[in-house]
Parts: sequence; structure tokens; C-alpha cells
Amino acid sequence: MNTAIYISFATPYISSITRDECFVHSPMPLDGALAYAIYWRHAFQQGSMQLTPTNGSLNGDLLEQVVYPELSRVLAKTTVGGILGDESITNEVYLVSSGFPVQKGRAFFKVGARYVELETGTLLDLKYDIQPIRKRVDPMRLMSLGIQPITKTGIVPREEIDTKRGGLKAIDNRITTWTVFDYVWYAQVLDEGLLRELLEVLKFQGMGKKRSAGFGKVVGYCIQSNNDFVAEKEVFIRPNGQYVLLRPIPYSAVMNSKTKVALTNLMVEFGCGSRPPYWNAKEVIIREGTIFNFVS
Amino acid sequence: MTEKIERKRFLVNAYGIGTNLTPLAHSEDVVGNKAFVRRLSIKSGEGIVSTPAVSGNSFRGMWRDLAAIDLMQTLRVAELSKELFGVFFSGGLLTPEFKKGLGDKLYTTFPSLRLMGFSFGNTMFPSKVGVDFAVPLTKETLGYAKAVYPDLACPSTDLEASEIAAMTMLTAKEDEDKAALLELHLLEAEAPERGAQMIYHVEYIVPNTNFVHGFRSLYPLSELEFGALLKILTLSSGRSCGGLASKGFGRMNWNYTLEVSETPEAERKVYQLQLGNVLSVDPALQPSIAAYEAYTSELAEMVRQDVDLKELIK
Repeated sequence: MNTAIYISFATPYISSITRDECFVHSPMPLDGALAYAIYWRHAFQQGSMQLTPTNGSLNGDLLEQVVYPELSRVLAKTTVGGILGDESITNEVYLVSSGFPVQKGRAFFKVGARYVELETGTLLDLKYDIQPIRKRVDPMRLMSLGIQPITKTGIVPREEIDTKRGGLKAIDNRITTWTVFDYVWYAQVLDEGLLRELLEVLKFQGMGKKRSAGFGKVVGYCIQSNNDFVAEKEVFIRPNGQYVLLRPIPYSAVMNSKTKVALTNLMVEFGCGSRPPYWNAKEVIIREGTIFNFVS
Repeated sequence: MTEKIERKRFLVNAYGIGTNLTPLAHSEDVVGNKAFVRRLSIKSGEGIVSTPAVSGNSFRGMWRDLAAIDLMQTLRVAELSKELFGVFFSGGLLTPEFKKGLGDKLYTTFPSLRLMGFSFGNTMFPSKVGVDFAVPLTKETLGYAKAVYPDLACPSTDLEASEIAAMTMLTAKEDEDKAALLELHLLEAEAPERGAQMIYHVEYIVPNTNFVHGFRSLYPLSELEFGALLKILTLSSGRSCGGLASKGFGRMNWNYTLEVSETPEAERKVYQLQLGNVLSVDPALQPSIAAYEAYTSELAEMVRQDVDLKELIK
């Protein structure tokens, strides 16, 4: 991983993970956001409203025909078999890490369930906020407009409109956000010019969840050589002689591999992917921070 | 029945300054009988600042509501399906599929739904407009304003974040004594317990505070969607921000700059939009509003002829 990509946010960045109030996972690898940026650029180039994602199949076609090929121009990829030393495993992943918090210019890597600054062993002082996301449906709105609510069986009396369940349910969600505004992703970058173009899209669009409500505003980025570590077996760092995973890989691939590996601080996640779109996958993945002990 | 696929696309980036003319209440946590202003941690300069803020979701809720009211009045709706009520007024929820294909039909028929996004059945239709938090301009947040809106001419300020919020006491009383003055007799079931009075405290942002704010298109907008956005913005001119609007809170003036281009690389045309006490829309934007209004004026007939929608919107 030859490149460090620093991204600064002005408002809290909500990755799918921090939204779920799970504190032990990092933001997902940057290829997810870059895939979105490619998709977005293509939507303008083609100039068709049909490109707005309205169903899964359209997204699937676009991913195969447009997004993955362009993403492969920006980032190098490898196979999980290549990582594990078993060529029979062919699942592909891009060579890009999960996001790691940066404080005072120092990156904190996940080792096990903790964020550690590699040089000094300092732990990250992680603080967080709770942000409410509410949604209300007020039946009085219809009354004030003189509109009668109806179902297939006829007019529904106002007192029978239920806002505790069903399609009119009032929502009171709370999102946990880290008070971390700088993150770094490490990647094997093939085309820095194209990467910059995509990061410009993210600067305009923002990153992560709830962008439409003002979260994840990107205000700057910086691309520089990775001087923080030398990756081993493509996606590992080796503090204290241990192999610590830098990005998610499929659980099934590791389990089916002929390479024997013992996992400590194993962190798995269900319903997530090992390549974009991370939100759309039904895999089980091993998360970054998991420690691999290769058994010879 | 559906909008024609248009080639014209709009990339919109808007930013501006707002000033609250009356106290602005936008509460988050309630502790006892005290409601506190919503706060957000932001990065400003090299520091992290916790500042009062009006959420983007709050703007989106208001805009969605205004779009729905306008549509209901234009279509002269007398009866509306309970499920569509949720979709138009709050964006709906993911539920078991209500009717196959109906979500797609709603999406293609109503530009304002495409703009704000909604969930229907098992499908989530993403919003095409992203709205920022409105952040009060103080010494502490100036760095944020300059970083997020680099082209915005930010007025300098000597205000500190601690100076812009204050607490006020409000009361609500069910005053049955007034019934006797009017010689009215309350039924036993309606009569409240004597002396029922509520005192509560609300934290608010003091009047004459400047806010920075912005919004943008997350996906390319068609001309009708752009027209819908402009129409909604003009309707919001008369609306208050935040809560307690009926008590006079949240009256605001806004001055937005709209940068509009057809592609990310194309030259951006700049328009001005003024909302609040004075409503002023750049004349060059009027054709888009007119196109949206013309489309919705024809919708009533189209909806009533549609085999699915005529049963749900009457």
C-alpha cells in the first residue's frame, strides 16, 4: 500500500458502522466511496434520469459495466488467495485499507478492538456524540387540509391512524458519531490523477451515511506516500510480530483456504461486503484489526 | 403518465447567510421541563467545536411538508390513501410490498418525491437533494464557515458561541375559569383538573444571529425536479425554522447564492435567491418554476385516469 489518503471532514462522518453504535469497527475501505463517486460522474456523463438508482438490477449492471472497471484503473486489486497464499481462493478485493482515525497528525490503527498509534503504542482517546434523527407523521396535517385518509375499506377516522407502527410510524433514531474529523486510508494507487478527480466529487458530495442531512461534509484531502508502515502479505501490518488485518476480507474464503490460520481478536460482521457496494452484500466478513497467526 | 426522460440536467450548489428575526428554538434533549437547543460537534479551523445548529433534516422535513401541501392543493385532493399520506408528508417507511410497481409509478410521476426521496414497499428511493446543518456564525465557527463555503462572503463576527443561546420560560394553562366568564358549561368529561398548568423552559438562539447554510443536488436534477426545488424554496419563504413556530419563534431571512451547471466540468451560472420578509427569485430561474407548475397543474387529470393512483388519490 504505497499511498496514504487523508480526508478531513467538517461535520461528523457516519460510516455504516458508527451508525450502528458499534465502536470496534473502522469506517469501511475507501473503494466504497470511490465507487459512488464513479457512479455519480457517470450519471452526469450519460445525462439520463434513468441512472438514478431505483432498483438493485440497474445498480448491478452499472457496477459491472462502469464502476468496477474504472475503480480498477484507480486502485490495484488482489485475490484473497493471494493474501493467504492459496491460489484456489479467487475472491477479489481492492488493495485499500479501512479508514483509521487521525489525531494531531498521527494515525491510529486498529489492533484487536483498540486503536493504537504504532510508534508509541498510545491508545486513541475516542469521544463520541449522539445525534437524533426523527421522523413524524402528523394526522392533523390532513385534517387541516380537509383531506380524508382512506384505505381499501373506506375512510379512516383520525383517531384510528396509528403512528406507533406500520407505514406512519414515528421514528426516533439516535446515531452515534465519533468526534473524529480526520481519517486516513491506505491504498495501492495506480492513477493518482483519477483518484484526485474522484476525491473532488466526494468533496462536493460528502461521504458516508446521512449526507442528505448534512453529515460527512468533506472539506479537504491530501494524498501522500505511505511512510507509516510497510504492508506485509498485501493487507497486514505487523506490530509486535503479529499480522493485523487492515481491511475486511470474506470469512468463507479464510475458512475454505488450505492455508492454516489461527485468528485472535476475531471480529466478524454479517450483511456486509468485501468490495463495493458494502451496504448491499450478504457476506460474512472478517473485519480489520483481527490478528492472523499463520500456521506453517 | 410519466415525465419524459429529459436530457437537460442541473447540478446545483447553494450556500448563503440567514438571520433569525425572532428567537429560534430547535430542541434536542429534554431534561425535566427544560428543552435544550440541538448541538453538533464540528471541525472549525484546527479545533473541534460543539455549536448550536439547525439540522439538515429539519429543513428537509419542512421542504417535504411544503411540497406535499402544494401538491395536495394543486390536485384538489379530498381523499388520500393512508400509505401515500406517509410517503408524501414524511417519506414513508420500508414495509411489506403494498402494490407491485406502485413505488416506481410514484417516483416517475411526482418530481417532488424524486427530489426528497421516499421509501415505499420494500424499495428505498434515494433523495436527490442534500441539505446542510445551519450553523450560527460565531468566533468559534468562522473556520467551519470558510472551509465549507469557501465562496461565501462571511461577515466577521465578535460573537462567541456561549453568547448566542438563552433560556426562556413558557407556560400552557387549561383555564376552565374562562368558560364561566362566557357562560359556558364544560361537560364533566372535558373539564380539566383545577389548576392544571404547565411551565416549561426552552433554550433558543437569540435573534439577529447569522447562520451559514447550504444545500446541493446529490444526483443530477431534471428541469422538473429543479423547478420543484425552487418552488419549495419559494414556499418556505413564509415558514419558520425550528420549533414553536405558532409562538412566533424561528422567523428568518435568507440570502442564498445558487451555482447551477449542467455538468460538473461546465461553467457554473450564479443566481441569487432571497427568502423571508422579502421573496426574490432571479428571473432566469422562473421558467423552471413555471415548468414545474405547468406539470403539476396537469397532474390532477392524469392521476384520476391512472388505474392505480385514482383509487389512492381522490
